[in-house]
Amino acid sequence: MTAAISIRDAKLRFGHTQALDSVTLDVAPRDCFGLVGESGSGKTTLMRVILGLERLQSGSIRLFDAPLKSGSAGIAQRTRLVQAIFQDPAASLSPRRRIGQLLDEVGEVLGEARDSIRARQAALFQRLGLPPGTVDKYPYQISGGQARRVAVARALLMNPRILIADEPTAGLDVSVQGDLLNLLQELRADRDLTLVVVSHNLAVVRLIADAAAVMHRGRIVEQGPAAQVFDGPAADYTKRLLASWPRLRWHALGSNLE
Amino acid sequence: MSGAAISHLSVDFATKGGIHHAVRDISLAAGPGRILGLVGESGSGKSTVALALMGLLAGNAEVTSGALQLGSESYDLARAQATAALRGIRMAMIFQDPFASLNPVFSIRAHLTEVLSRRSPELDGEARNRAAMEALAAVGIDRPEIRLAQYPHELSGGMRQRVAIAMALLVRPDLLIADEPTTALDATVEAQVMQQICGLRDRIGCSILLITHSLGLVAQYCDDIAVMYAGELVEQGSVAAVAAKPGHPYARALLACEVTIDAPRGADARASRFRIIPGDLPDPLHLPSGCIFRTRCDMAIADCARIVPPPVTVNGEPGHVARCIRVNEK
Repeated sequence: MTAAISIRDAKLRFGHTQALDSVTLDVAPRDCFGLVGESGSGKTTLMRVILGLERLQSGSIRLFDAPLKSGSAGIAQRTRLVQAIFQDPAASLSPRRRIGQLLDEVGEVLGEARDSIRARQAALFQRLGLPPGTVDKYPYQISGGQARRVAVARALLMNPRILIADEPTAGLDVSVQGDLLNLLQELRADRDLTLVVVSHNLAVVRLIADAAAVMHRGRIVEQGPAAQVFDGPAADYTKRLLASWPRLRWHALGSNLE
Repeated sequence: MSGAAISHLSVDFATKGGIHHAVRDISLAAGPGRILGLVGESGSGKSTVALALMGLLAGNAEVTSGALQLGSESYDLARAQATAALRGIRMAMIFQDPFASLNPVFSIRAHLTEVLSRRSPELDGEARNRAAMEALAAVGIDRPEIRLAQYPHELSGGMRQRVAIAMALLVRPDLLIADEPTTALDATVEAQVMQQICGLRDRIGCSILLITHSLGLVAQYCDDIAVMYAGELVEQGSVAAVAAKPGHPYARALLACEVTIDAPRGADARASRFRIIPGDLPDPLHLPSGCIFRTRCDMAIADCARIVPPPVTVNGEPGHVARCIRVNEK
């Protein structure tokens, strides 16, 4: 089976920091791949490499087994394969433009007629549970959960085969977080999406990821099926990471007292 | 020291659409040496409470009522600059994003000694330097003499948050407010930062108001919990009591949404679905009559639209109250 993302011996150094150190991984198509690790571990750099926002100093990356072109042809090739929603939706949506204008831009990138892109946008809004009137609003006028949905809509308008979600749940309360995660789950079933979730929320990644990798200081210290990585970790670092996750649960606390 | 108590706090915001009553009649108490976890959805008013206490609200906000009791003194929060004289002396705050809350053009030494110049003006330069170094060491920063000369951008996120805690340590406040102090940090660093915050409490015996989205964090580190919904306080009590029997339907629904690290996991991750609370927060300019949660509540009855629920003691547990008329029905 052709991997959706295949990275071999990737290396990237910024000054004194080895941001990526011999990273090798495969993401199977239609899988949800979880990438966890502490801040500065290289998660975001790896995501940027997949998006083509950083160039490897050595090693290789292939998306759906296609050799990636260089220069602007490579950018055009990638934007149709892979899209991302970024951590801070408010910062990733321009504050000076209405939501509708931001989404019209996708049509300009694709060279798609205005009517066609707006029809797809309206259908997506319905699918994502965004009120139609959202297009007339500015980013500051919508909630954090809605801003993330707008970011998802913008990414999906490009019809990508891979969607990367960088800390999709950061700053959301548990109910809004659950709503967004359920949406991602449905989308990957409906649209044959390959999902990469970059997060430090171990409990969430454990439940939605098929496979996962744990990064530490630019290296992948452990990877495999999510059930194995989270419930039977082999690497000391993974064990340490999991041990520091708050474990005292409400219902456990309750049942202890009853 | 007798802790901190907030009574009848209400905050309005003037917006283009009208007056937004963002926080309505909130009363909270954080005992000395105790950590009170304040939870609730984004937009429920948690941060507005914190900023009202610190006197840091935006210009379009107005505290219409409220008092802060700190030890034996009471401060009228509706008065301008009510707590200005307490900031950096009896109250301190740790913010979510330490990169934004530390000043990029000042060294770590300058941050720490500035706190001391306000809190302990009697100290000379050398004594301040020594105290700054001790504070960094106390929050687990190694080689503090080197760190003092560094700037915020040279430190990791976890280290920056420790500097913010060290600043609070030097203030020795009666009330420390921590607004999502670990949101930007990963699990291992979060645990270290929370341990430092607990250490600070133990060292100076202050009351801590911890604002967070993480129910796991509250369960693990807090003594008491308060739950806000759409600008109102719906439940308060000890963590043990609320965990054993959450009285308010919103609190119960919120706790049920928590994703735990050992939740049952099916063989196929594709089938994982997450619990949510159906519906949306009410429009702040058109709040429902009666109970604020009734439009999303699966237990709502006709009376819920007529009666504004008073705080009711849950299960006969002292200090555990919920604002629901059906709280003790079953």
